[in-house]
Amino acid sequence: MKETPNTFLPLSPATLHILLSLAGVELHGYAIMQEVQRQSEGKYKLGPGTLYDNLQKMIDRGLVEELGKKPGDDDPRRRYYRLSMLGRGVLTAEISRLDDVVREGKMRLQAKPRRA
Amino acid sequence: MLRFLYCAVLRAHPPYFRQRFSDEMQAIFDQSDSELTRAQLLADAVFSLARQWMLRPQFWEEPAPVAAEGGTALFSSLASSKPRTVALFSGAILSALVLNGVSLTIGYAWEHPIFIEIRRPTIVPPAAWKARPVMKPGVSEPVEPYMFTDQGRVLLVFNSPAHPAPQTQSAAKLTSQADTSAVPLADIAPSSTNQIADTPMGVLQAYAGTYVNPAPHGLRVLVTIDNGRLFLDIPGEFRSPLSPLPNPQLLACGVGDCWVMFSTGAKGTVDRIEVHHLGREIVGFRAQSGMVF
Repeated sequence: MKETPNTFLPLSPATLHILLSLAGVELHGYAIMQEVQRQSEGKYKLGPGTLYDNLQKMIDRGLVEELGKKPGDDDPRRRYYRLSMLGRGVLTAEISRLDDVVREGKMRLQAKPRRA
Repeated sequence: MLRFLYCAVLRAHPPYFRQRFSDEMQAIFDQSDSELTRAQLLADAVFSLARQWMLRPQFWEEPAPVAAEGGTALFSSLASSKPRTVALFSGAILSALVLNGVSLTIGYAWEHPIFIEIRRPTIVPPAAWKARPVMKPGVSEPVEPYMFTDQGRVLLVFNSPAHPAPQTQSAAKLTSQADTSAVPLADIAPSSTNQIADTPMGVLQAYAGTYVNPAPHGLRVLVTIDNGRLFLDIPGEFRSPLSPLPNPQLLACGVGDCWVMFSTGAKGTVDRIEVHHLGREIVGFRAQSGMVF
């Protein structure tokens, strides 16, 4: 059975941040960690163990593709990763879900409280 | 050190994870610039190790290749899934380190000192030992008669008027041979004069007689029997009754600092006397009947 993006939802914070960091560019592991830290303004730090554990699962489920090493890189041990089409669809669906959540939350918070 | 530990932890990961990500994790560790960051990375690796072994069994081995659509040829590795020898060795080292760490932690966490009470032995002397002769006013401190042997032994003699200490033959011999100096009588246990009074007359007569010092102008010592008691008489000096001492070879005079010892000859009869008086020694030999001095 082929998986649709909605079957992955909701995403864990680590998966969401990794997909988000890979949304626009191909990155290696260390760059993903730094990007996640930048996105969360330092509130969410991803360790290598957690990062590669999630990357392993995402590669296995086809959300992320491994590109391998790039010649001319500072460290030849680095491997690069990018978002797959499925991963992009999952991220889009998660963002849409979160957008609905935000919108609903704002609407609820702006509405006057009603007495039962 | 931290890098060594980090490498060991990475090598302990499941083989599939290690092959795919250990180089990158090592690169991230090498890129860190502070010890604190490295320590955090090491802790992260330890958590990752536990997570991979306990929660990700599907990633322990490389997944089997799935047949491609359209009959495309596939290749797969036939390498053994068993851990490498190096990995086993590293795991053993890591296990030993962790075990030592846990042992040290336990050792510091539970320090239970064991106190062993060593009591000092208390020696309570018998009451008889504490009994000291009562000193009379004006009398000088008495001096114990010193006892010794020639056999490398210390001889302890406790004076007791009720139970005289039995003297060994060698000790008696030594005592008879040893000291010619006067023994003060003040510290010698007082004796019962009745002992001599109760002695049969025949025994007393064995000691009675005239003893003569062979030196020119030597003194004469008379031992007489009076009212059932032996008396020592040195003409011109003193006359005193003799009393037995704990040492059966010795007799005490009634005057201060004086004691007497009799010796027997080859025939078994008493033929020699030593009188020690005020540091002076008087030796006399028994005068035979009919001898004129």
